[in-house]
Amino acid sequence: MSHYPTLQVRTVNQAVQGASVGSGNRQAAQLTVCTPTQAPKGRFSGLPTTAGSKPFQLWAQGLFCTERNLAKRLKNNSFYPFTQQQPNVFVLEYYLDTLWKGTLLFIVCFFLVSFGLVSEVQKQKTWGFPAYGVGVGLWLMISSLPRRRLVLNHVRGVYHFSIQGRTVCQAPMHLVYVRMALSSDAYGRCFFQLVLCGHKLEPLVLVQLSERYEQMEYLGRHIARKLNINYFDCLATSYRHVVRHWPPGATFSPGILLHQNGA
Amino acid sequence: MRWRDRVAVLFFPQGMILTMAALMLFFVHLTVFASDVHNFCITHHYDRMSFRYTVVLMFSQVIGICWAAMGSLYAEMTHDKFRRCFSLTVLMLNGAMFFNRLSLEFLAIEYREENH
Repeated sequence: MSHYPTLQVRTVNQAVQGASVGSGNRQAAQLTVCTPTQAPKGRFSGLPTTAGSKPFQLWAQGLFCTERNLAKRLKNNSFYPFTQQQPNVFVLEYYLDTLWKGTLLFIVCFFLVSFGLVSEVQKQKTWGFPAYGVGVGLWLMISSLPRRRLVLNHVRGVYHFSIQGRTVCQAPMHLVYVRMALSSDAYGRCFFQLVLCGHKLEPLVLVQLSERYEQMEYLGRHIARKLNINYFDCLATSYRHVVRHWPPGATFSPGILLHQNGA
Repeated sequence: MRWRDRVAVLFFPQGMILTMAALMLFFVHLTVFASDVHNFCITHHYDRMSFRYTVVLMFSQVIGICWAAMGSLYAEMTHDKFRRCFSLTVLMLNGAMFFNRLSLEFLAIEYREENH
């Protein structure tokens, strides 16, 4: 945690001084915790093409050991699911997963309707059910076709969410966070989810149901540290929250003690 | 670009889409109900009533009520008086249409096709 701010300063200085790429890579590789291959990706090229290279990466989360899947992806891209465009700017372009679900429903119900497989059951015309499926699937598909784009801009201190170029929300950084969500079954077994969400954002599930709390918490805190956003635990009141950005009037309200929470 | 802008607005806000879908379903059910009542009471053409579509119609009415209820929940969260009033009206219309449908099916139960 302590070396993270110095990493920022050095890369900014290098960008300003225009140091040679070779020495810059070596130094960045020394400071980064994860992999040296991550360092030259977005920083010195300056092209916007690195963002949005994998809009479907959120779809394939795997059925078993999803947190290990996430850990593997974090090794390849240390700012997963974002890509780093500039030292303090992270970009994520994605399609909602209702795109493939709606398309699948539409195709299956369209075949059922067109081949007439379930058109009549005991003298009742039941082709209406797949017709409903066609309508709902078409709606899901059309509403998920525009590409979503989430930009975390620490330079200006705001995040920007747009759908196919049309801005939905631009708000300060304390309104976007990584959250651990808890659901339990009837026997008391707890299942955890890691969700990236915020004000007027569509919640993105990073890890589906998992039972290993410590590993999920470690992954959640790691992601929040890399992206420099808040991390919240499953309970509303907890000492495990990591708050990096406070709301503007927070220091003046009673009952909030200013502790610098190390992550 | 303007038509694309309008189409994009059509996908947000969430609650209004559900309420509008429930309203469309209400109009569909209203036309079916009106034609059934016309065939049952006025022209007495019982074979032109919608007996073959009863299962789908019931399913559709329940779906309409569920969507209207979800849209009403979203509208209650916005504290916008017009939207709350509108979604509740759509919910009540769908509920009333369901009970109308149920009553008509009960009245016309003797006139269905006979199977021996």
